[in-house]
Amino acid sequence: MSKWDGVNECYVPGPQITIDPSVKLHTVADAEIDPVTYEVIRSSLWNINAEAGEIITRVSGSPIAQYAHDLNTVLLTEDAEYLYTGPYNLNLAVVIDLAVKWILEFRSTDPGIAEGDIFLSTDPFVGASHVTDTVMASPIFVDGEIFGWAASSFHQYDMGGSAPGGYSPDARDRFEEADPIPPVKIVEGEGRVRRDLLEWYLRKSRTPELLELDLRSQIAGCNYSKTRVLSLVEAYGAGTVKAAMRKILDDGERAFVKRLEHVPEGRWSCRGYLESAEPGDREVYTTVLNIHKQEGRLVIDQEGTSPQTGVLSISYAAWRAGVMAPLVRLLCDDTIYALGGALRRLEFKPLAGSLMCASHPAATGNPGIGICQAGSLATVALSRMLSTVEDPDQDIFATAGTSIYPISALTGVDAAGNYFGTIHMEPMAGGLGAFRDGDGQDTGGTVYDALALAPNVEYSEQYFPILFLYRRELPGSGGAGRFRGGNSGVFAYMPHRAEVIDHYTATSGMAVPTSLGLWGGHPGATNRDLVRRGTDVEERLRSGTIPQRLDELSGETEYVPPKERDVLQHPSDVWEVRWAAGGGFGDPLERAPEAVLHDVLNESLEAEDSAALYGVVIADGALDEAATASRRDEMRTARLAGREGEAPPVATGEAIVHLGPTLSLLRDGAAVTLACRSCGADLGPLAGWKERAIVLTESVEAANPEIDEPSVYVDAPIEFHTYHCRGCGRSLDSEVTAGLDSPLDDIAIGAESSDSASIE
Amino acid sequence: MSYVCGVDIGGTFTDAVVLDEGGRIHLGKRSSTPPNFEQGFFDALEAAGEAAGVTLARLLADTTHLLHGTTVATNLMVQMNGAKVGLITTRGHRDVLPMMRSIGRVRGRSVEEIVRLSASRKPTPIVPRSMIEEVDERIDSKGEIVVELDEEGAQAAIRRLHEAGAEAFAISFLWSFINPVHELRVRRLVEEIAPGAFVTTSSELVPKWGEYERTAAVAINAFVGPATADYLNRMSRRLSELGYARPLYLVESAGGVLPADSAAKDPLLLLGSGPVGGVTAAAQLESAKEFGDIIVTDMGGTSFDVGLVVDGRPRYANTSIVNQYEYFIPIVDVESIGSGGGSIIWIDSVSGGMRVGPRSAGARPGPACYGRGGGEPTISDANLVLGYLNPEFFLGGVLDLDVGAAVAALESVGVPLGMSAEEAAVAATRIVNHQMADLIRKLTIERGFHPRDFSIFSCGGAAGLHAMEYTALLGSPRAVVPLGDTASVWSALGAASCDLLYVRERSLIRMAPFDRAELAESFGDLEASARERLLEDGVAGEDIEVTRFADMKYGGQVNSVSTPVGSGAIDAALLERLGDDFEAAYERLYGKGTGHRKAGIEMTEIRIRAIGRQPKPELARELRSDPSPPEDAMVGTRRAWDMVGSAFVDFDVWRGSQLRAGNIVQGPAIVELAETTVVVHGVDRLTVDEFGNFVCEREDQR
Repeated sequence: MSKWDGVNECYVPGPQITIDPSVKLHTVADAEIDPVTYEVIRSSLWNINAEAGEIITRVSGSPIAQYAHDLNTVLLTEDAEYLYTGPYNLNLAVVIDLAVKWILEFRSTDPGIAEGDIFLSTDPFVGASHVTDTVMASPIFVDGEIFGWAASSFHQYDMGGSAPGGYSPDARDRFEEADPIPPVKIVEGEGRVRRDLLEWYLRKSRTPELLELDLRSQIAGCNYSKTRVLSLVEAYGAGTVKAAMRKILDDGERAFVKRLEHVPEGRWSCRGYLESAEPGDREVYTTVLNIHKQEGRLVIDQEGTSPQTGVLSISYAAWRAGVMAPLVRLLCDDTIYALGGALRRLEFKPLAGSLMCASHPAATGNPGIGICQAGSLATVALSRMLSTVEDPDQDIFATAGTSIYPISALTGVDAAGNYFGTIHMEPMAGGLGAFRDGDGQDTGGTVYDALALAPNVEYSEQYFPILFLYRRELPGSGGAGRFRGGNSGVFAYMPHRAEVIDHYTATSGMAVPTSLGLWGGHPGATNRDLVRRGTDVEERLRSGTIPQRLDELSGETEYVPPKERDVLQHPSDVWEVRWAAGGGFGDPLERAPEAVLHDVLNESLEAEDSAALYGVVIADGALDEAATASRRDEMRTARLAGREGEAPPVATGEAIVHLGPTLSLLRDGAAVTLACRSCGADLGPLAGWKERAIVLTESVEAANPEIDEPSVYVDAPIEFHTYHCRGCGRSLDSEVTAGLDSPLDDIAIGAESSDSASIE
Repeated sequence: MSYVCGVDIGGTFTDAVVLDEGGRIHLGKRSSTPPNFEQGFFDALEAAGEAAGVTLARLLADTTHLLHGTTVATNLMVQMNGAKVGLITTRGHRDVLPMMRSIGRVRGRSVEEIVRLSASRKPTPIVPRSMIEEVDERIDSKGEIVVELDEEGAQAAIRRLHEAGAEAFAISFLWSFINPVHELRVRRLVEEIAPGAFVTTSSELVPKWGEYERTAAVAINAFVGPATADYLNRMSRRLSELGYARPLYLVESAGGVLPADSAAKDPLLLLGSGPVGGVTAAAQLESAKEFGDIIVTDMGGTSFDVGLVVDGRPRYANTSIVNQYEYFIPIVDVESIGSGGGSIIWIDSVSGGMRVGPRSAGARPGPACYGRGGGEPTISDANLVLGYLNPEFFLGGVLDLDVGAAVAALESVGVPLGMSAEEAAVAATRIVNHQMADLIRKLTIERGFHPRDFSIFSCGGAAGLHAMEYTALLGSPRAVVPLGDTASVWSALGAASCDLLYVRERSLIRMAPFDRAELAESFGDLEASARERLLEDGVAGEDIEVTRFADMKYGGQVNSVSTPVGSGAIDAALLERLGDDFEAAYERLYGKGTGHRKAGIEMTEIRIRAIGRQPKPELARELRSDPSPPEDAMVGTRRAWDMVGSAFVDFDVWRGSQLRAGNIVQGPAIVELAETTVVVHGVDRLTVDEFGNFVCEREDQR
């Protein structure tokens, strides 16, 4: 028995799973399927699965489903390969195959798997994103054999534990959170819900009625998918439908391999940081993601990631789901998320006991931190890897905003005596990361939820005793670059018809930006919660003006730490939330001056930042072309002033690969060297190239007007480095580091460089 | 002789119907004439008059009601050439429109565009940020004024927008639907500073909860306002020159008609009204009554639209999406996909499989067989190659179809897949039939209905070719080509059959038990305002019919259900019944045991629909005669593909205009009409009923 069995270590299925012989799988598929029947069955399967998600949303009536889209539905083959996931939250979808494989391995003997059964699980160590996400999975039987699985995963408002809603800022281990449920057979035979298990399940929650409705909605979703798949089987025959299922997977795999065809063998890495493992903690922790391209497959590991600590850890299932969200967006967009084929070509190698693959008994209740971080690292590593593919149809993008979800919960009792509790949903409107050929969309959504939705102010004010002073997009919050990151936003509110509001925070990305740029692009804004204490806001409103900035108010501003409990807000206190914005792409000095002017005129960028970040001079609403040219010259000259010695010679040889828009690898005989794509300067070997470049280092708040001094939150220095060509001064790449970390050798090309740690 | 006329302007054709006192229907179909659509309007009307044997002047002089479906507002949105709008919002909330609640990036886009991050962006703003002004004022969720309106600030804002060239003003403040006082005051200020400018407020247009959707509505209303008003003025002027002195009525998306002056004030109500007339016709016309609940489908050149008629009434939706902007006004619930005669057949490079649409060849270049330079194969080419379309009798012989071009185009996708042109045509037809069935399934099953309980009406030029196939896929008992050839101008007939309709609504967010007096007063206000307007329009008191609705949901839940509030005084018994009705409706829609009673019942909105009944001419009927059609109605045979038998066989070809009530046509047969063609496969049979409906049934479904 592998140690990766979902008990002390997270469940990581081996290449073969052992299933009790009493359970039979339907594996016989027609050898051929005509293309029309295939197209009909394929689109039916997509629709069935998407409609099951609609049904769950409707039956539950849950605001979490409707507004946060925190659910997903999947259809799986008999042995738990993905056919389709729905267009909802990917972070919740790409865990379910693990749960189903675990059920096949560990539940097929006792209590067995039979027609009409539905299993329920909330165990992140098995296959759930976190302990308030309920996975329900139902086998679809044809002639006594498991033909496939219909399943869903759905975030519940509350499953118990010390923090309402489950995002505990201070759980020391999993025993201080809601307790996870390994798969249990909650529905047995044709639709009979086990009353004992149901009551045990509902007993855990502060909101048992909602939990029950959601449970029933997931049962309805499973049943819908099951019925529709069986009607396809009836219409076309099991062998034909199975052939279509096989073809979806085979096509998906082939498409994935084709997308990787022009990617050289090599390794691409990204390093990011999380701060503050518990209230009062001022430490910074490291997370790393390495992607190795090896012969038509990707091997993904987390070597270099810090050991698990506090509330920062997530399970293997959650890490893998986080990685898969951008991977699906970047590489499975042409198969509408048919990621099963891609997964055949992916190998995940976790590091037991790390922040990204916790061991028992670590707390794993804050996926808004860890899953998001895994996704952000994967976005950068994959986009760097795909930068070698010079096809405009291949998307690449910098990290999207809301790169760590700024969980900021408010609870209390309003003036009418009613309990309230919520987390802000505004950050669903993340600024998207910049693309290789265009800006990230302002307040455009998230990578992991294709249909991200922010609430109306009138929704929040109706149900919670607060009054918004403002809610707006934040100029300049998107990372600067040749193409800039999408702007995020900011909002502020005061208590209204409540004496006090009790807040807790459970987030990261306040000290260290988590929306990283690409190829010289700057990071997007950080998360921030501020509270202005003892203000004159009430008098100001009475006198007829609505304050639009905290510093227009009297009183003192406090920075709220990333993990804190019981921060109280009284009627004269104004609370402001800023959420992370998208990362930029490329050197800001290469941004078209007209685009900068447009941003300033459109109030997407403050005029003062146009000169500082972009070298673009705007006077009286018009572009000063001469002043811009000379300002940009000055900035380039200043970069070159950091150069020691002479300009390097021009590299010779044939380009074997373009690493991205700024760098190429050239081969001249046996020698391989890195070259600047602008001036051709020879930058020496790839390994360690950053240390030989002109390095400009500033404290990170210089990179973006909406990043604060990190010393507010953490002790370690957080720095932003840009690496410049020693020939022409062009910005070749950029990086954020914490503490004394040296630059990361984040690209290695060639088969020998792609060795990776192996899983025990 | 007096007449009721309906005119519907579509992208390709403008259709007119003239109903005479004898209940006879006369058709006119002419090309649409953008950008001066009124030309096509009068051309089509003249043609229908000709069919009725009267001149245009005579027709208009004797017309009692002229009803019109127009896409003028829709076109302004599609082409984004509306007015320069100045928007005024609450201080601190200027970005409500640009943020679009984030979802505006993908709302209304196809799944392929949704999954690829770079494939969808927010639309071109209707109002750029530089034309949005904030004003100090604030009202809270209870309607109480937290910050007084800064009148000087408001005046300065209006002046700045006016000087910046605003042609229309939109005003949207937070919580204005609870307390409109600030919006109404600012409207006055606009009228003083910019007299004559188009001005619209969110509390008057859509007094509903949700500031983004309210702001989007008011901004769009202002954007399409001036040009729509112009169009309606030009039209009214021309009509009065031609001797028509009565009001012109416009089809609104809520499923009725508005007089031109109301439509000019709130042109938003016309957006998306294109497919609405057809659904209304199916709900209104006597000739449709015997078919029970109806799925109304309309297949034209570029799209396939579906709506439902349940219990004699169209099904409504509360959300509209236009250019990815979303707003809340009740509309006839119509879903569309890009499956039409012009849909392009192509090969997906990933799966190597065949796909159809959503791209369309449109009217230009059109399908390959039109011979207008379109080289890509389309569904119309497939229908030609399969023998369903008559190359010499397309649109009654107006256009000759090029079979060779269709074959060549189909081979271009067929050969790489190892298929002949015919095999490719069969494959593409099967795919498009499934797409249409899937859309119908979505519209019914997701809303708690099953298609087997519905008859399917197949309207539009292309529907009769596919009707029996998607009907069979859904297990529905019958496909009906309503009133034969009239099905091809069904929307125009729909316009002619619309009643005057005013929808009045307001948000009223209250937990049960509800305050009886407050509810009675609120409904009373809405009803009085609509009744007054209908009387002004000349509707007699006895022709006014008011129905009341309350939108309710369970506390803390999101599904709201529009529940009819019975007629009569609002008393305790009525309120109790209202709660029970809500719970029953909730369970019917969302399933047994889904009601979350412990959380209590919350009302969110109340609404009335006030109808001014319009006279409906009785449609002519013909007594059923012999089941055997007249011999001379059959004009020959044609080799065509039998979908059920999977073979080319000889189909009898019938002139549809010569079929009589009671005639039965056994498949395989093709019934040709001037504007449409009905395919009757081997296992199908077609019956003509006394109204002239072509009713098709399949052997195993009968």
